[in-house]
Amino acid sequence: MTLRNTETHWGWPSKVLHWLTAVLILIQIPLGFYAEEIKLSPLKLDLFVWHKSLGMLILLLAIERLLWRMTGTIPKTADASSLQRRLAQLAHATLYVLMIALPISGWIISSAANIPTKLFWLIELPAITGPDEALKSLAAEAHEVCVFLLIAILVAHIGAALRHHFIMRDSILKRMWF
Amino acid sequence: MKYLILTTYLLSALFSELSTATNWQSEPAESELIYSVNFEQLPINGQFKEFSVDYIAQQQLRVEVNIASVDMSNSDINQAIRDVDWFDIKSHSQAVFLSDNIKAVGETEFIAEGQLQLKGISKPVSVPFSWQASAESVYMTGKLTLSRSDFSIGSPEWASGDQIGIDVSVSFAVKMLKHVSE
Repeated sequence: MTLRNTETHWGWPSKVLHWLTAVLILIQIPLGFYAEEIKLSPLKLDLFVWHKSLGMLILLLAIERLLWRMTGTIPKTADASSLQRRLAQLAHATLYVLMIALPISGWIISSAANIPTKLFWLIELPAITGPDEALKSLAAEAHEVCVFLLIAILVAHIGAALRHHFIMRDSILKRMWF
Repeated sequence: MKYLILTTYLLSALFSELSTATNWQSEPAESELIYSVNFEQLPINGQFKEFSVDYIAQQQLRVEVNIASVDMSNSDINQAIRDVDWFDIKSHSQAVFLSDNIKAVGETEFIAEGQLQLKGISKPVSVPFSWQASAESVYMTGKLTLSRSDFSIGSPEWASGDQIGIDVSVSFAVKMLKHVSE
């Protein structure tokens, strides 16, 4: 396996980062909805520590992926119309924006709500704002809008990958696997 | 004769000072009663915005706290801690500390031994405080640690203290003014 991406292949760092992020996001979304839904309990507080910990991990991975992408190349999209290519690019760009906007808005909620956070019960996450009820509500709304947008784009992203694999029978999905 | 008058005056002044001890009362606008408790291993602060301190020098200390005035700078938490599981403010809106036993442990350091009644439970508590006098007022400060489980604050599911700590650090800084009784 190669380190760097080429015109035709993904290097292993891109693949590892992609699938690691995929697994984390698929845990993170239901975790967030469940923690928000249940009544106040020790479990709820613990689940939020997990949610914030995974969120910050996703943020770090997203930044790492962007840097990796910017310092190299990415494989070309095969046989696709220019509209499909544009849509795919838009979806991928939006995914990156959301992988940054969701953790940051969550971080603002937590800080504005005056809740201290120790990621994985190990690393203290500094507050990025002081207590502020109005900002908390605003960030919470942004977080919610972002997560529904994320779900919509993930459905399209996964749907497109499966369509490439099962209907168009090309190597787009296989290309991301090891 | 002059000296006799002066001496008599001084003595009477001294005796009146001893027999009628000075009453002091807190000035709410310049007083704070705050606490700190661990929330998932990191301290989080709260305060009681309404409370009063009455002090008869080295004789009696009485503190009344309006529990409903508690504030933790978060509307969800503020609502949760008013619940029956925590402070249960519907049934127990007030906490009282009363001490008739105040010991001097230094020139400006004292310990008030008394009973704290909180959430309907009365327990002996020692409140150490320092008494710093200035021209017009006195600054009373102190810090103590209470166990929330002693006062049944936090329902059994919170008993481990892993999410919300058991020990609560309470500190106060109170401006005391001389109270003139009628």
